[in-house]
Amino acid sequence: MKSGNLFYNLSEFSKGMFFFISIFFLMNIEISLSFFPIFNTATPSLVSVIIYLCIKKFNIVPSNLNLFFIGVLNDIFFGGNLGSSSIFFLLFKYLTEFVSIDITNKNYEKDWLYFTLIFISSFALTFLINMLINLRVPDFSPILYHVGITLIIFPIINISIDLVYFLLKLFKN
Amino acid sequence: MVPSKPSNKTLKSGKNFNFFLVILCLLLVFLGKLDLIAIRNFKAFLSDFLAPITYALNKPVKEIAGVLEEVKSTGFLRDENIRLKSEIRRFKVLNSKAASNELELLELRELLKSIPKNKNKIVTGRALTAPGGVFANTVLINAGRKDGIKIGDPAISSLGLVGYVVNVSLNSSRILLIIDINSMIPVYLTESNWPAVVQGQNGKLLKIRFLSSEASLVEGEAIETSGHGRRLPSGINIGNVVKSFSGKYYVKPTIDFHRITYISIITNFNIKENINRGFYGFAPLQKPKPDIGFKGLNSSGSRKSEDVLD
Repeated sequence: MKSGNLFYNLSEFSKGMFFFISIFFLMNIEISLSFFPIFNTATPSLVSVIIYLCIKKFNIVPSNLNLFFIGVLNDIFFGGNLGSSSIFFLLFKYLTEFVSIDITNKNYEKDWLYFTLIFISSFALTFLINMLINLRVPDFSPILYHVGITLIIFPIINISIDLVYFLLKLFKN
Repeated sequence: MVPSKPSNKTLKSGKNFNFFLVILCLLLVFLGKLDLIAIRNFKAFLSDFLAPITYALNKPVKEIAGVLEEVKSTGFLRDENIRLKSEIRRFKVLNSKAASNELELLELRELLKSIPKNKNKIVTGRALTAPGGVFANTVLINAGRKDGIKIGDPAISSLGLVGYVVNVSLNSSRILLIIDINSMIPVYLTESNWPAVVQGQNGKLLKIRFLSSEASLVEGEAIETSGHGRRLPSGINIGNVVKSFSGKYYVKPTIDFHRITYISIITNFNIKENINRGFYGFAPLQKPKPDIGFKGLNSSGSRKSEDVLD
């Protein structure tokens, strides 16, 4: 029984580490996207798209501690208020788990709608926290651009992953 | 061997741990705003530690973006060439005018026995990141404490003020850009000499605040740092006044913050240190010393009106 627990913990830890490193790379890509003129106003939240797809599509549920550290790193990379991204990721995960939809049936519209609702509600709370902390209302154009571009990118990534799966299956057969 | 699932007790303690994490996050947000030394050092250490990795990971994307930009610009090479030729002609005329003006200025300074400006000691670093955050606009550069950079040092580029240093570690520094919501820069309007404060909005334009109701803004008017508050040197270019569709006036920074590759830090602007040297606690505000004169204000602190309106 004890060795079973140990194996379970080890497998969970290695999964967590792999997830953390992958997100770390993705975070860097997200930051460097702002070098492209199209993302000058704001970059899309690739991390939240991947977290959503991991939970719903691949059934990989990241641990809360993992998300906490990812958030802290995100704040350090972007130079934001320490902890605000962690709240966003934790809330995002909670809401994603709370909404019970089956993504494997390939209902893209429904999936997009759920992601929109989850992303906007978690982002709204983070926005409120940041507004309270700074005691100022920021310019809305980069915020709306960030939300909009993330919502546009989500179905593209979702369909691309399915396309890769389809091609791999085709090659195997 | 199938790994065993965690028990109910483990799940319950996990829920408590999640609640603890959320509380910790909220606490971090508020402690971070308090600007505690421990948190500042933690951020500086992590930035320093991750700077080479960030640079290595950002480089390919930056290169691809550069190549795409170059391919895009090749289509406009002919127009660009014509524009540049006319600009060269214009700059040649301006250059000769500037040379004669500089000589005149030196002579006038000599006559007035004006105190010469300190020569700026500049350290230049490469920008490791681009500002892409929604809630923060900062840039990390690869020059730090070992190069003599301190918190509060002004950061400039060839076009004007970039921001100021908010966090320093041994090999890297973080610069708060003037477009960030937490940035407030004392400025003056170059045509009417009115002092004001420009505030970042996390967008592309800067808000003009604390401007006298008597002041009238002119579209295209240049805005420069005034040096009030002694945080930044005076006379650094910020941008130009633009009018929005709603009729409100904003300042458009001259610098395109997404294209910054190198940022220079003025490391010997240590007036603040000189003030702190004699600091023994909080005291009521002192009357301004007659020898300190800021741009647009006379020695008593009121606006120089006679040389502006005439």
